[in-house]
Amino acid sequence: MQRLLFLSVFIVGFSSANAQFRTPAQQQVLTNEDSLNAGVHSQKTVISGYGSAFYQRDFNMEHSKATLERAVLFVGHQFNERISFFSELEVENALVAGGEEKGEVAMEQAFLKFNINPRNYLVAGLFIPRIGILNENHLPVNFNGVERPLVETWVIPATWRELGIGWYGSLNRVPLNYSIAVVNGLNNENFEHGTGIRGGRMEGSNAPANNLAVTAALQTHFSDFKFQISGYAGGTTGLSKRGADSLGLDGGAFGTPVFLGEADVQYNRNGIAAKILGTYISLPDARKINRAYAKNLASGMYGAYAELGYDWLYPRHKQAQFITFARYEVLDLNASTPAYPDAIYDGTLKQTHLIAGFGYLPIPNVVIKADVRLLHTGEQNKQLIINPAPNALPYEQQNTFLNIGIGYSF
Amino acid sequence: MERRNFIKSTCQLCLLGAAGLAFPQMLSSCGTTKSSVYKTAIDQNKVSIPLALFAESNVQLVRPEGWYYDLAVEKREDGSYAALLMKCTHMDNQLDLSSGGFSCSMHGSIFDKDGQVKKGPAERPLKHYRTETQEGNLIIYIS
Repeated sequence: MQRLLFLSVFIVGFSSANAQFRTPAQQQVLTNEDSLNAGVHSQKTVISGYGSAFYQRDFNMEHSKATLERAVLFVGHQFNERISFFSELEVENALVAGGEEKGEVAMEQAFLKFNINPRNYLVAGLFIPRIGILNENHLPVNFNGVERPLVETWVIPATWRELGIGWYGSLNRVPLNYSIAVVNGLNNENFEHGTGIRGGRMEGSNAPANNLAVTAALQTHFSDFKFQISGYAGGTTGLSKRGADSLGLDGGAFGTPVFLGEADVQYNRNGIAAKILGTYISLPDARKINRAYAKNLASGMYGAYAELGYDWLYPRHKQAQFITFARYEVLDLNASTPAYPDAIYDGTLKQTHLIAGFGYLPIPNVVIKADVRLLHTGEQNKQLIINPAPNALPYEQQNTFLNIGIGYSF
Repeated sequence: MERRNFIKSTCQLCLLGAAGLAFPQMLSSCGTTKSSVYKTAIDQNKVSIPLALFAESNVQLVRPEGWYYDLAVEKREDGSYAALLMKCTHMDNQLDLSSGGFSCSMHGSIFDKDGQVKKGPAERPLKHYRTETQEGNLIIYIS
């Protein structure tokens, strides 16, 4: 027993002494101890999340609703200093009873991240590409207004996530961030009149991978400005070649293509924040999709918005923020349409929105919001009213919404 | 014809991308923030960088050898130096330099130039390291 104890003490002592001795050459090399001290080498799991709830009054319909819009759980795990896992599990509208109207449970993101160096990394899995402003910054504490910008909901279908691989990085000598990704394409079978390309997102759920898409973005900053351009180009026919041929669609990786271009500028200084964004979508073969699936899709869509906000507590150097803002949005989901009878113009899809309100953040992670949205649309096209309900109210081109909401992130 | 249109559109996108590449280079020529990285080895939990690096700009990025995060070192108006780890305190993503601070592309956290949280989901400020000037060099204690 005494021999065993002596042997143990000897081994521990020798190991300890050996571990403390480092040659000058070894001292140049990053050790686990160095990296642990720096917090760059630690295996750990992080749980966090975000959520929002709101009340909305629709003055035309004289109807109000209240819903727990989103509750999202992040789970991230760092396997080592190079490889991490990130996920977002979302529950929409609190209750899941089938169909998005009643609620939805969805993986918003689930991907592996591989660090190449401090300025470059790869992602693989279900992730949100860098398109527009909101897609990457969709937490309620990070945008003004109870509702997300309409342009980045109906033209850019945020939050837009697909399966694929992406490369994110920035240059060493120039303040330029870049990203490029290859993802599964949209499915034109699910495009719907009035919702742009939103319905075609596959969101990682049994996506037909016969078609692909490429998306890329460039960002730079100069003084108090941040500039970005991003684009997306991809095929929309998820069917096999034979299936596509039978419907008169172009199949293959980039068949029946869709193109999206976007540019935005953000400004931030002394509590003043401004942003402008413009985007255009081209679906040149909309006529073919309309014929294949008896739809009424547009071949061109656009949207743009400008927003100005001011944090009234900024001059006091408080942690809290009280931001008032105004945002003007214009969008047209049928800016161009295939010739009649392959499509029928719908004036209600040409809209302007003026939103004004405030957000109070007692801490950067909690927000209380309220705003008023004034909506104006074009005229309703009577050709699109096939079986009018006898008790249907006349279409009103103006409407007003009152929104009150809360949001959190941690 | 449709294929030609597709190729034409793709070329237009490429031109747009090329224009995007040229634009920031034009901007960088008149910018004041130095984004080039100074790479250095770690010696006994310290890194050393020449103070001369701050002659052109008051912000210098430093990359300790073997690390997956850069340090942002700022020379303040009072002559002191601050060294921040460019690692988001939310989920450890690398941070980008942005106007007036740092931003995280993963979930949108924003930190000011002092490392304080301006936008969540991050809740904790960026990690600061102690610094000291010695014989024309800035020593950053990374433990």
